Amino acid sequence: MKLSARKRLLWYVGGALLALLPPLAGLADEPFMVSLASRILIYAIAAVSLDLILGFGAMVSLGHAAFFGAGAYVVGILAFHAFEGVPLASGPIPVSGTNNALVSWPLAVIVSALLATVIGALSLRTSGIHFIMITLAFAQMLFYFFDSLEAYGGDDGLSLWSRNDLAGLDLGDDTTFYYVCLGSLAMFMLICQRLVNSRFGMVIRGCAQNERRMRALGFPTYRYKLLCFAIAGAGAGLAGALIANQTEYVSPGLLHWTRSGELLVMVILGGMGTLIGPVLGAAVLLLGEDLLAIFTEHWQLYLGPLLILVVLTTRRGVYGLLLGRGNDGG
Amino acid sequence: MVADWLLDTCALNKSFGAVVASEALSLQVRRGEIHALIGPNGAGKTTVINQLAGELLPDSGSIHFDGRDITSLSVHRRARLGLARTFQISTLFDGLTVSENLALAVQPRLGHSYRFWRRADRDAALGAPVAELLDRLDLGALAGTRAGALAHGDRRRLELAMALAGRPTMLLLDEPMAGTGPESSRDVARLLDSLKGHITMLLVEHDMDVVFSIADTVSVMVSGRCIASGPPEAVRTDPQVRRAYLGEDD
Amino acid sequence: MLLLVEQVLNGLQLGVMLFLMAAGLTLVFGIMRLINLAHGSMYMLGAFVAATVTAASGSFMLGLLAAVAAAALVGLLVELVVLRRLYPRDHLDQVLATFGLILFFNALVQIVWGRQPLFMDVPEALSGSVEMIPGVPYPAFRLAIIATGLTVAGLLYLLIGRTRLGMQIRAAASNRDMAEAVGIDTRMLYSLVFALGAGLAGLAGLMAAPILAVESGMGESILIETFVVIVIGGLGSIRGAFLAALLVGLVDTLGRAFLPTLLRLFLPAATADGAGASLASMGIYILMAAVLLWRPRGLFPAPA
Ligand SMILES: Nc1ncnc2c1ncn2[C@@H]1O[C@H](COP(=O)(O)OP(=O)(O)OP(=O)(O)O)[C@@H](O)[C@H]1O
Ligand SMILES: [Mg+2]
Repeated sequence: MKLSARKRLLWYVGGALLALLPPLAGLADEPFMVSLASRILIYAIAAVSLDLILGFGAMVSLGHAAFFGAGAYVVGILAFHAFEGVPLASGPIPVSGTNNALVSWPLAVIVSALLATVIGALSLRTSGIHFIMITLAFAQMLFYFFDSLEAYGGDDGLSLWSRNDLAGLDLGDDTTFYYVCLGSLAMFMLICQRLVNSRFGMVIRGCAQNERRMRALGFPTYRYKLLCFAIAGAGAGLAGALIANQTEYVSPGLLHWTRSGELLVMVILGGMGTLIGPVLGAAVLLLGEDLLAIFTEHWQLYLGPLLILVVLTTRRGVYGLLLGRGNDGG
Repeated sequence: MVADWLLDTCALNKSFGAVVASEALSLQVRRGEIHALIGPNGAGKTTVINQLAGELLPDSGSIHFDGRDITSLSVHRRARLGLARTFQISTLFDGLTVSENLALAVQPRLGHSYRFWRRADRDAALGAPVAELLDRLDLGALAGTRAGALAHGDRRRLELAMALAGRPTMLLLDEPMAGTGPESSRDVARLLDSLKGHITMLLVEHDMDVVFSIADTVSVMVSGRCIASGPPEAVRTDPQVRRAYLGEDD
Repeated sequence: MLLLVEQVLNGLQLGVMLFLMAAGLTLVFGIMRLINLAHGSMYMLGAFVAATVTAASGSFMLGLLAAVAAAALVGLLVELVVLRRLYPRDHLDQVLATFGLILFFNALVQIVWGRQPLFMDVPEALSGSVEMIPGVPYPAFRLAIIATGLTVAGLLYLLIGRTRLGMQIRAAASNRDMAEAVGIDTRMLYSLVFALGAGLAGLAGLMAAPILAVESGMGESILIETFVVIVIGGLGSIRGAFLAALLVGLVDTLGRAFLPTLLRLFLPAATADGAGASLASMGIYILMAAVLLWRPRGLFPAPA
């Protein structure tokens, strides 16, 4: 009972804080906080999506940034064509670019999900360290693909002229954009929350704990895991679409393997196998980066050992600590 | 005549390197019977179960279940056809509660699990059969306990309950009472006996008292081969069996 | 034709460097079941120490000794302080903790040596080129890399196949508990193997120093390529690592050199160059994915 009360308190406090953040930042005369917070929300979406496969499905992917980056590139490339006025594809049915978020964001989600389906279909034939390595290999393939894609800037990346148009909202305004990110995160977390507690979610947790038994019970585990992998890819694609708007810039760096590593770090730091954990992890990592950067340009010197300490001492992460001793997060 | 056999395996061969675990093994199980498979440690009983359940593919030979060739069918397809199994070493979802374990085990029978929105723990379609299973295997008091925290005997009962959850036509039971106390062992035997006629069973068991009291047919395996098969009385008195197995065991 | 010879030599050179990296990584995985992302950091340290000591002392040999010794020592230290605790952990913990080590070492190197890349000269004696095949002058330093790499491979082969230590390594790789049961001091052995692997990574770093920019983070791209090598070769197998290293070195180098030209046969020049460059840089990852799907345990899996 006490645990659920604490959990509820966390939700309320966290929610209120997030909802009131722009006016508070205005009062504190720190407007840049709003854009940092947007960034945190976006990475939180990506981290939650990774936790779906990592924490709930026990699939250790070291290539999740591929879907993040792919989503960003979809938005970037469509916007590029819209502004240059060059059709994306000519031929019998010419396809033009677009700056409309209602088109390009869903498209980013779909492309990332499809990509995850293909990569997952191949990767899920392996397990253990081979799964880690093959997801890494596919992500590297995509990294080098975009890195050598000269038409869209190659390794220099692609600058957007402006943020997307979203149903008359001015996304160029940082506060508006912040609320869009917040809404996206809330929606995605609601979906995930329903998902992990549904029959499908139980199947995924069952596969994580004992795939052999799942098969013996009659579950085609491969298909369920693949679908979960694709859903996670879709979430990362959404985050990618948002980050492209936030920075108005896409580059292969979004797909680099160290980015996948950072997403893993967020999930573990915050608390794996929970939905709030990855959000806290994203906040801690990005805030920590920012705060430490004030005192030292070598913040990684402290982050590295901290990470090792977290791994060696506890797997429950920040969320576990907030919930108190003796509960395992979930 | 052939239709009489629910399970019909023909000339199974399986080796692990130099170890021959199944050799020209043929085994017929009649619909409705309890068919015991006995044999000394390492005889290859678990390997037979694994081949029947589809976890191992035989090197050669065929397996028919309910008139259907299932020799190369995947594990989950066989399970969906009504061929359920238990594991010699309990194979549970240790992080989930007893009810959750059972709720998962019930799901395949209710169709696909691509249901993403409704909470599974408030799903009456799962709750009712779970409650029934809890009751039947006397696990009710442990419903909220994590499987990983259960005592050995309770684990064995949960293992059996999960196999029953799918309402199988046939059960492959790999030493369901191994290591449980005599009392709980008797309970399980009584339960199996009560299922006789409804569910066909292939029962691997070392406890000879149980075997000879509830089995309709007994097959004896030694070093991958089936050396005798028939009604308990005939097998008990078979000189070859006495020599190879019962004599040294008793 | 001459270009081909030259590119094959380049491929070999990349291959032996990858092997020096892969040997340690695959041994550590084969014996300790550890995924060590920080292996690239030993390479980076080797390069930095080599560049610094060589510049200060004017002696390449001194630089070499210092690089290998520094990498081995730091490796030993890291094993004692951190990695030892990770052996019984799952792969996720190992990935995360060694990722933390990468962050740490990259920052450390920046603090000690600054953000500007260092450059190291090729040693005087090896600065010329050799015309082994008439008409194909080839840099002597790169030839020396190939020769050193092959020599090390040979020595490793002898070490593992013929010596007492090698026997212990093989025993531990095939069955850890058994090795302990027959009285092998596995803690000592692990430290030794780790230091050996780190030293070889340092050696690879030294060889790379005159060819590449010596900078923070330089260990990361070669780390990933090394993982490709050991996964293709079969985790834990030195022989597999050697053959896969050469394969990866050749595929990468020849792909970059010839794929665009090859594609020009079928495609318009501009498209061919773009697609060729793209495919070439993805080449080894495509190779790895293909190998894994075809043979999930790699080409030469170590006996389980
Ligand atoms: N996966 C495997 N790889 C190699 N050998 C195996 C494997 N599985 C079983 N064996 C060997 O096959 C033989 C039969 O083993 P199996 O487990 O089927 O025996 P069992 O009759 O079930 O024994 P027990 O009564 O002890 O459970 C044994 O010699 C065993 O060592
Ligand atoms: Mg057995």
